[in-house]
Amino acid sequence: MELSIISEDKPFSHVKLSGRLDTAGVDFVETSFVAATAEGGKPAVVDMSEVDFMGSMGIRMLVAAAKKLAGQGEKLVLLNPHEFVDETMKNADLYMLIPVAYSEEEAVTLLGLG
Amino acid sequence: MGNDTTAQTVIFTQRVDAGGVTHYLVVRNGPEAGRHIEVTTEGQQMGRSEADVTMADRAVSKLHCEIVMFGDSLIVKDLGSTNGTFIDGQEVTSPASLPVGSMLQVGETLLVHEVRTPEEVAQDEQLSEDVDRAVEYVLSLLPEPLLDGPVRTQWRYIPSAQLGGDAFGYHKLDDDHWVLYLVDVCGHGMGAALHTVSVMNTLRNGTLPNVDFTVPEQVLKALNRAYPMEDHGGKYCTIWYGVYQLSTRQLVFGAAGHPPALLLKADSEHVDELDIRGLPIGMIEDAEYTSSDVVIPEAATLYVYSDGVYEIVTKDGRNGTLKDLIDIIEGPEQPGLGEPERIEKAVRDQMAGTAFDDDFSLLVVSF
Repeated sequence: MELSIISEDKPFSHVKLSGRLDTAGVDFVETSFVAATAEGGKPAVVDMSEVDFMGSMGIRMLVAAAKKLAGQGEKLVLLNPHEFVDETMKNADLYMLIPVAYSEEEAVTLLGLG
Repeated sequence: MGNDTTAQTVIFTQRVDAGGVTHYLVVRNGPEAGRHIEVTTEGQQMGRSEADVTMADRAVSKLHCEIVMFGDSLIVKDLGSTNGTFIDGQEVTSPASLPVGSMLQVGETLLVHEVRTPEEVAQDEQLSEDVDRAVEYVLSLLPEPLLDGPVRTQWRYIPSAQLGGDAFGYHKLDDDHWVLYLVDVCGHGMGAALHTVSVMNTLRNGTLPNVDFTVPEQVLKALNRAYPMEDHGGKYCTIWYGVYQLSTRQLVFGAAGHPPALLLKADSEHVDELDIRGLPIGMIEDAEYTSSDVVIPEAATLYVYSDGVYEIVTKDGRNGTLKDLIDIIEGPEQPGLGEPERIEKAVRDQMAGTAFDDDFSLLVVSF
């Protein structure tokens, strides 16, 4: 599991997750992920295009970050989720909490920055 | 040990044992879960018998594999075993490194390479015993299969090595209604199990105030209020909840973050997905839930399951999907095997390795 900071110069935190977002993956990246998104002081875009599996703890990590941002009046948007992650999100009805975008422009619009 | 070579002798002298720590292979599943196998400087052969380390696993060959040390890693060599040796899901076809934290599979047994102090080992063994007791307790909550009557059940529950948070149940609400449910708490281990037990007991005992348990959306909404994740160690759970009315053959169902139950009618080759969406229990305050209904025809079969049934890594390296499970369910019956066992076998046939990463919970209901 990897977390990459795509850009620190945008009006939103832009990070990318890669690999399996299972329990072990979450253990590995959670602290850095929370720091880079929920504690970044601005809305966040999380590129999920290279996450090919997301388990329950991965959902928990994303939702916790989204809720923390919501408490600050900000949003977290998922960008380009893999088909498998998309199915997981839909089954759990999670797009109610975490919107999805299929381009950076769409993500910016969803964040209300467009 | 046999087959020693000069190269291996050199490897042994490179063992790192700094600060009194020792290399262990820790059994993660099966009857020996929690066992710590100390890796010695001389290296070891592992097998069911005739080996330095013997494993109580019928899928292990008499002489299965060999472990030697190399720096912080262990080197694994398969000794022509019948079922193969795997490191993190990859078959060992030539001597391969087993770094700290990697998973070794020997037969059906999973072992993690860990570096521990003796005190840490003692603590782990105590924790493992606690998990075993938790498994026993969760099993004690699962109802007996119903072999006769208008609602008949079969099930299969296989806890993962770390114990996930699955459980399920069914009981009569009154003379005309049966309730069926399956719970899956996020995460693994004792925390998940404790949360599962708590939710299960709420459903079993009907201890949600002012709730009509024949109305799924009322039950889910009340559970959501009762179990906010912020007050329960960050745990949330998914649930499928259905109520079957005998007199009308109507099944009313709701779900909270759970994959759809599947209904296979006697006159159809394809399942109907009983799809209804709702947020997992505890995720946000005041989440709303809905229910849907379906009339169950004669001789239909309902499948309720946890995601651990299909979220596997397949032999060709891809992630299993719900579609894979549907294909299995729509496949032919197998004489001599009950439906849960047939499905388990088919999933295992597709799965890389032999141990489930998550709990496998499958409830099959015939009407």
